[in-house]
Amino acid sequence: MILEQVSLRNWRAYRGDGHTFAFGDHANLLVGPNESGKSSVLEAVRRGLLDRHTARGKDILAVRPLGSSLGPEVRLVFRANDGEGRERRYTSLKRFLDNAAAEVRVERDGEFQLDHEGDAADRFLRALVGADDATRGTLKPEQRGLAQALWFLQREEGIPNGRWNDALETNLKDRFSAESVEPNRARASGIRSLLSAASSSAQAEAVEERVNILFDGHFTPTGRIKTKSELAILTSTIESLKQELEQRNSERDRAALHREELGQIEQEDRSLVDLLADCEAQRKQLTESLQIEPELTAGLNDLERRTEAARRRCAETSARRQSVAVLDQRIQELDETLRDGEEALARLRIAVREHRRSAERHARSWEDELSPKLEAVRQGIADLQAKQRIEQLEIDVQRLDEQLERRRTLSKEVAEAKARLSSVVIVDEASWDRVRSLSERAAVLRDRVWAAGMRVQASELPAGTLTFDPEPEVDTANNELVIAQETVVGIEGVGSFTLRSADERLAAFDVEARACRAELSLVLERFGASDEAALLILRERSVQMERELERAQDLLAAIAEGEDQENLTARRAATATELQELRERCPQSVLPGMEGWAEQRTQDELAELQEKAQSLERTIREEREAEQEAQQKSLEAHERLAAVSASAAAGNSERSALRERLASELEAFVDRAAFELAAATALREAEELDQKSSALRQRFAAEVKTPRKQLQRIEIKISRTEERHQQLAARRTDRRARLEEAGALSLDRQIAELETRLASAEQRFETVHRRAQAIAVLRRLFGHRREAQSHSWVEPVSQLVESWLVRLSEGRAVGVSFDTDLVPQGVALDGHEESLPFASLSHGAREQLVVLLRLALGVVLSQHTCQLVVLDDRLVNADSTRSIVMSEIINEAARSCQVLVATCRPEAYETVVGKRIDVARRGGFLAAAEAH
Amino acid sequence: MKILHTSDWHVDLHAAQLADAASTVRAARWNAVERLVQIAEENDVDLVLVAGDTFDTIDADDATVARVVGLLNRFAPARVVVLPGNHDPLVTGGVWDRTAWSSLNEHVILATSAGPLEFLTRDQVAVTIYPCPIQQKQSRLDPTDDIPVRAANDQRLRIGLAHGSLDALHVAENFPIAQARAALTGLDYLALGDWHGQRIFSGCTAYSGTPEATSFGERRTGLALLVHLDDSRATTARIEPIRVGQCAWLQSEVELRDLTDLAELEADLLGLGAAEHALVRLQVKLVQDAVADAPDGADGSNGASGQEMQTSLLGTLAPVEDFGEHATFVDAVEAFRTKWQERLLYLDWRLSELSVSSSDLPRSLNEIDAPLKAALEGGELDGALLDLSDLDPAVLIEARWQLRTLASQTAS
Repeated sequence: MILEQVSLRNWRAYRGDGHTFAFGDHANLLVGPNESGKSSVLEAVRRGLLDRHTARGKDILAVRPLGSSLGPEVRLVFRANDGEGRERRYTSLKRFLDNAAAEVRVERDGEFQLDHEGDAADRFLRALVGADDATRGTLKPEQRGLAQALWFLQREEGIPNGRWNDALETNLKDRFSAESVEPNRARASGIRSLLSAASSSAQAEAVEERVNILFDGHFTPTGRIKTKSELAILTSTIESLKQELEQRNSERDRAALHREELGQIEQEDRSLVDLLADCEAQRKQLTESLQIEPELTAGLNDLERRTEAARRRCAETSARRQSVAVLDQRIQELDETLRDGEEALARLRIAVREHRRSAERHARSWEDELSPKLEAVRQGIADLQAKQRIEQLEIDVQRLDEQLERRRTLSKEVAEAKARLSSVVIVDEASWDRVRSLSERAAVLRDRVWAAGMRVQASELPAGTLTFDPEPEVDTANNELVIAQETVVGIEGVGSFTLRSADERLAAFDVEARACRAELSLVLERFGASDEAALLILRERSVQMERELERAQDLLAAIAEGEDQENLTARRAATATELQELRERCPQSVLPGMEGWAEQRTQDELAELQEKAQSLERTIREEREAEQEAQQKSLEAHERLAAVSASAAAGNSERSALRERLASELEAFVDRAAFELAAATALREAEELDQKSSALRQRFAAEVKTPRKQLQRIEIKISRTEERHQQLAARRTDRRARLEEAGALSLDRQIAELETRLASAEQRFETVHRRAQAIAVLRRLFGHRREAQSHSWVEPVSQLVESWLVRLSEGRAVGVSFDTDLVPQGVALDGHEESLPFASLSHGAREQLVVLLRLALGVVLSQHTCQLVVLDDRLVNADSTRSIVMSEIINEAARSCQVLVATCRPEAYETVVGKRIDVARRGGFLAAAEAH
Repeated sequence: MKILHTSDWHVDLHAAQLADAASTVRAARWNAVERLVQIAEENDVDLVLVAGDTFDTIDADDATVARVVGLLNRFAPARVVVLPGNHDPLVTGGVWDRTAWSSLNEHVILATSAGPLEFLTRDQVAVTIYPCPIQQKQSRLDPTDDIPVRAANDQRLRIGLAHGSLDALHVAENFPIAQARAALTGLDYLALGDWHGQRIFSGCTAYSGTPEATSFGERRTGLALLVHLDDSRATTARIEPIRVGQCAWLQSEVELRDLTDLAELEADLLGLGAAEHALVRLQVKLVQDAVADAPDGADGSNGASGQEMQTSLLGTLAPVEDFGEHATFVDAVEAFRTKWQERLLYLDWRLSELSVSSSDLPRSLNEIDAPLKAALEGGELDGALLDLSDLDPAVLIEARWQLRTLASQTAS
């Protein structure tokens, strides 16, 4: 639609009549400062088209001018397609609240004729932009149809949350799909002229819907077979039929198995019958041949009896022979044993003697020779050790003596020091200090006296010319006499005079000095010192002595600390005692020739001796062992000797016994030769009888035993065969019964029935499955087409936006991506691989992108019918460069569609070619003021 | 003498593949045997020869055996000789080894051994029958090997009864029968079973064929043979086929292009109406050559524009009287199928080809159909739809068919 004119009455600040704004077909700038009422104009356009005249919401009430009770009114003049492909001019009126009304008039033959009124007018106006016509009152953005897509109003999001409303999609699809949409949607789209008359597309939709319904009958949305669908039921039916059939078939297979077995049984049975006949014939023959058995048995028995008797005799004889032979043998053996025994006895006797001698030899060796030697060596060792010990002890005694001596010396020193110290005058600290202070004071006083005293200097006077009483002191430095007190000066030869200082202090000083001196001399006297220096010496000496004493005492204490005196004395006494004892014990404490040997020599000698002693001990031990061994051996030999002689005695007695038994054995016979002859005869007889009976037995075996065994075997065979025959008969009966049973079960008919049902189900399944798959394929193809279509309308819009965005960003943005619902996703930036998500764009950039998208939608949608794009003050964030580019883009877009831009900054749109509508001048507060 | 020669009764045939029609077909087999009894009676035959495969398996039920026994007894007074065949061989515990056979009348002889059977006809003509019973399912031995050569002075009628494949070319695998057997051994007639289609060979050798077909694709079935033998052996046997079966089985590939083809098919199906039951398996090729149907000047092969072709097609597909009460040809075919589905005992209608142009549909549906057509005919496919050509062609054909059915359903 193309908006030509808006007239307001009682609309917010536009009170009363006469507020009319006319627009051009292309670009329009609605210019005015803030709060001038630009947005009110746009609001009026929106409400005039989209809100039901009966709406009474809070936001409608807000439209009424302040304090007014009049109904706000908006009149629009616009051009639009009438649904029959003709463009017509319409006027619309909407009055809200009081006297609410709506009407649409259409221009026919130069006159505006009433076309719709009331609700119908509302619906008609909404349909123009494809808005939702069911909602009462006002419409939310997502209900506004094309107005959502093309109008970018204040306080509204530029992009839908999910997808654009159906109206936009439908319209866009119309642009790019070959056919139009179904009629009811077409009505909603509001642009009837776009509808093609072809209803075949509606048919396609109907087919698609049917396909979807059919698909839903078979499958879940994810394409799995639905439970409880015919396919699922058929599948389970087929499965259970198959199972049942399998069971029946296995029963039938069992029957077949039984049949096979039966065949085998019968075959076997036939061969058994043949075998039985054979066996019977053999048995008969054998039974006949066995008739000679009793005769043979009797003969054999007689012969065997005789043979037995002969054999017994023979056995007796041979037993006797054997016993005689055994006796002979034994006697012979005994003879030999006894001979051997005697020899052994002789040998053993010699051995005993030898061993004894050897033992004695060894005993002598160790007792007589070696033991004394060892004793001597041991004595030597002891001596050497004693000597060593004595030496050691002597050293110890000496050392102890030294120690004791030192102690004594030290004690003496200490005593002396103590004595010395006691003899010395000890200048105590107090006295010393007193002397010091007195002498200092005396010095001070003297100085003062010297300072105060009169100075007399005699010049060129011969000595002794002048006498002074008392004698003055002399200041040798100045060669002056110092007169400190009343002094009588006698001049030789002249007389005398008195010198006295008038200063009293001098006298006092002098007195004090005297007192000091007196005291000093008193103290010094006490210590016997002549003067201070002597006292000092005295004092130092006493200190020195004290120190010495202290040192001696310390030393003594140190020595005493290790071991006290008594202990030491005791040790010394003990050592001396031991030494004494040792000396007494070995008077020749030193072996001859050993004096003066070095200690090492002694040691070596000692080691040598010890070694020698050890070796001797070893030899003695060995000798003793040898002796014991020899004794042992002699004992053993002796024992053996006893044993051998005992056994010889036993042998002797046994031999005599045996000889007696032999004699008794042969008693019955004349002699040994007669015995031998009798034995041989018995043996021969037995052998002859044996041969005879053996021959007879062989005959018996051949003619009786073998046939009898054969007969037994045959009989066993017959009985076994008969048994087998019985078994087979039983099995045959069983198998036959089972077969009969199977035959009676009508198994085959059951199988036929099941197979039939299975085939039926499978055929049905095949058909249904094929059909379901076909439906699935169709559904997929419809889906594929839909996707392709949506792609086809997203493409041109996004291309247009992209080309504009590249220009606007001066090449920084190189692309923009949309999803299939034409919702912007991201912007590709030059030099970056990943695109910047739409949400991350700056507010200004996002707004500019949305403006571009709206313009592009406007251009694309206007390919058929011109559309209105509204931008309400949306580019406040654009810089001047961008404003210029944006103005160019607006100019470009406005060639295809009507663009209405509201702005408070007209300078930003200087280059926009179009109509400028100044709001401040025509309406706004000025008008409001005028109304007042 | 008159002989009724029959074979391959397969009384216990399952015919499960016929699904819902199976029970009817099974009943028809019994009816066929009843008919044979009737024929024997009507023709007053001396001898009935059943040349093997009386039963489909040796597992046949007792009830089945009993029913056969009852039917065989009804052939009296004609003598009956029943031969075990390869489907019902003579094995221990098999179908011939049932207690039901004990109630067989004495005029019925089970040929359980190869010994010759001799008897006199009512006209006191001496006849010797040489049955060759089968004892296992398979063998490469000629079962007729044991038939002795006619003695020089033997003037009796000699009849051979055997089951196997007449092996003219020496290629038969199972039970090959020398083609010259009858001539070699001086038989007056060699009655054979095993082949379900009736065949009569020179030299008095014949297959009677099954009295009721057992599957699609069999020919010359539903028959028996009435054999007239000259008692004096002066002339050779006169062999006369007799119809027995009730079911007509038709398996065919049909190509449907237009209503004429449909009418022809209908005529064929109506022809089956002579039988009591008709079973039909059709491989239907729906072929609409758009170009051929197009009016003059719209020859697609000569580069006619798509627009022209479409126009012509829209013309043919328009709901005009061409399709009777149906909107499209597809509708007409579908209606036809439904109609015969109801009328026939069994109709297996398989659309094996759908060679029609996509442009018989509205343009919007044409877009859906085109890839299906391309996938079937190896045409070019959009990348995302390449896998369509991996699908079972039957599914693709079905999809195209469904699309058309739905299109015509929604056309109104």
